[in-house]
Amino acid sequence: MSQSRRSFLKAMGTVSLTAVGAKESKATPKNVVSDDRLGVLVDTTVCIGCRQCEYACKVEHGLPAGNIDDYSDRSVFETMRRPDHTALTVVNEYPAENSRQQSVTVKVQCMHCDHPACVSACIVGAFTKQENGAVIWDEGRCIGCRYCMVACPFQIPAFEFDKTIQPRIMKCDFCYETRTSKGLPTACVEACPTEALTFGKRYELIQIAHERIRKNPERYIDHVFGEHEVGGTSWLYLGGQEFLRLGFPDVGTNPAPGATEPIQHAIFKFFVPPVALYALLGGIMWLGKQSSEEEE
Amino acid sequence: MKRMMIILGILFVLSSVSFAQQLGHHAKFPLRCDECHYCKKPTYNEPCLKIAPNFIREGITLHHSVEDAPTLFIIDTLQNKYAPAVFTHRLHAQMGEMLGGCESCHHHNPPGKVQPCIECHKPERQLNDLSRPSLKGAYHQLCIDCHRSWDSDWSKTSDCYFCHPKASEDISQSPKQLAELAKKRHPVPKTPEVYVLKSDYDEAPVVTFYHKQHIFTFGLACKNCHKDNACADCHASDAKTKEISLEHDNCLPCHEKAIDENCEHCHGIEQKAPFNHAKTGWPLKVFHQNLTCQTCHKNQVEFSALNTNCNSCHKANWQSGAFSHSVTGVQLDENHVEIDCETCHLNHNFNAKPQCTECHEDKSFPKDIPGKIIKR
Ligand code: SF4
Ligand code: SF4
Ligand code: SF4
Repeated sequence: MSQSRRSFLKAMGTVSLTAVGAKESKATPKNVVSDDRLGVLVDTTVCIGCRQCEYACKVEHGLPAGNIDDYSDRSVFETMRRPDHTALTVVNEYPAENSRQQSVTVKVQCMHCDHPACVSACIVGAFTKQENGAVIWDEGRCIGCRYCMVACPFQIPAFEFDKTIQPRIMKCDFCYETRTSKGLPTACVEACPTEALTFGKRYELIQIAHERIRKNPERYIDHVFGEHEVGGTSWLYLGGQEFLRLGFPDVGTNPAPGATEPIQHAIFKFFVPPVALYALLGGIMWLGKQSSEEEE
Repeated sequence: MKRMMIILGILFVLSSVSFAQQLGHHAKFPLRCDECHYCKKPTYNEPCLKIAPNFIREGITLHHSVEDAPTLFIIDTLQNKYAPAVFTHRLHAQMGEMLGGCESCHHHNPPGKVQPCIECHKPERQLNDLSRPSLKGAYHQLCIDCHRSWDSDWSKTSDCYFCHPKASEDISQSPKQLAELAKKRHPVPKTPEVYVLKSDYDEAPVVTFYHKQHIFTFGLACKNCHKDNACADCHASDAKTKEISLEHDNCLPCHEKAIDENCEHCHGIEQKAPFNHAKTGWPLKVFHQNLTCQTCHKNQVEFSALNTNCNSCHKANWQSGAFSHSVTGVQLDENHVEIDCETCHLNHNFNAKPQCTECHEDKSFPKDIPGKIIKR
């Protein structure tokens, strides 16, 4: 049942997009996500904090990565780190509350939101949500306004403050160009020795996540972070303790924090059409979500 | 909205009637589809069945002993990065006995004998069955789960190089080092003499548990009681300061009757004396004191009194004619060796002092010996 309705809605989405799309300016951000969109499930009860993912990500993106042996130095966990322009993903350590674990290490990167605030906030459409779930940034369009940094509920986009010429916004791009656009797993997933990271279709990952919770109720809290947070994200997390105590912000389940809209409305009134498009697409999604909930 | 749903629903029902017919009876099982199928739409040609769904998993049914377990595995799939890892399998099998047996690693084993990991966990990650880790993931998840459980600062046995030596420290090619590793066993843990614990049974709160006696006198192996321990129970940094606790369940397999009817067996006002066989009316002397309980109390779990007549245990060669008296420590001289047992051991009571009066008015045992004492 859900399959046929899904395809139906998908078709509808595409039709309305083409209908409106023709009239839209070049800057219109794409926001069509596939039902088969990809994601990564991070099991923080399996992660060992080896930071192989950090290393692999840097290598993949041509960032200075240093010596791999230095990554086993666990003293970096003494300070909390955020992803920045030198590291698109970082691993932090938190004290464990579940006696099964000594400490919990949590990989942080862009969540690749289904309703990305960064995309809404970007006035020139440099940020786009791809059909496969990736939220990527286009160097050619960015005007360096850094609204995305303000808008992101996870404080992900970083700015190359040290560069005066052509500074870039830096964030995890889901390895879009090199890998996920071709269906390949991301560099970090491939590097993770424990398979704390599972790459696959988002809906399958959600199934797997709930399956793990069902089979190991003592190991996990009954919550898949990212399933509903900010309207759903491509990266999903399992944890043995409340996510607030694993460094996750209390974001709620409503997509696109309102803070971003006034910026657009006030300054770029002529960008209203894209917002209307969002409303239409959002409405279709909302209908789809409502009815699939009804069905469940 | 509702109308749309209804129309869609009718369309779907129509389109899926033929499909439902094909599904046959097993779709009616009280199971979710994804418990057996890993894909969304299993078909007869591509059923995408999971290898060992939980509900049919019996686990290992043909067990073998630790000493029959393979000694070492050399894991060299990551050779480009590290030297091959030498996994001391038999040592881990031995340690695993206290954690939950072979099943603690060989989980989800299909019925029959123990399967190697690679039977289910393939070297390449299977993108069509994401719930199953690849071989590398499976190794790491299992190994690291225990290794880090007591090693909170990662200083001991859980950094990468503990298992994956640097190329310069490769031992997988050294037969001598491999042979040593193959022999390695977990040392026998130190066993405290006695635990005196406080229970919430107000009338007799003190529980005395003679740990050492349970092993060396009663002949229990560690795994008889320590079945579901975790390495960290002893090896965590705070393990020594942790209070030990004992539940009735721990003692139940052997002390069911005492738990049901005789609290005083363990509970008291103060610490109890260790078990002393003499109190049963049968002091254990030279020979008997070195035997395990089960040697005499055969097939008994909760021990009860035995017939103290020697013949009740010593059946075959303790009949007169076939008996060599020397095993008692007294070698009979030639005058006595031919005499019937009951001449001295009246009424066949071998427990009582032997009597000399049947033949000798002025002799008595043990002042006078009917031969010579050969050992004590
Ligand atoms: S986490 Fe932040 S940067 Fe990433 S998609 Fe969501 S809003 Fe954008
Ligand atoms: S998905 Fe790619 S860009 Fe994002 S953290 Fe992983 S390796 Fe880095
Ligand atoms: S590579 Fe995997 S296990 Fe290591 S820190 Fe990253 S997510 Fe955790």
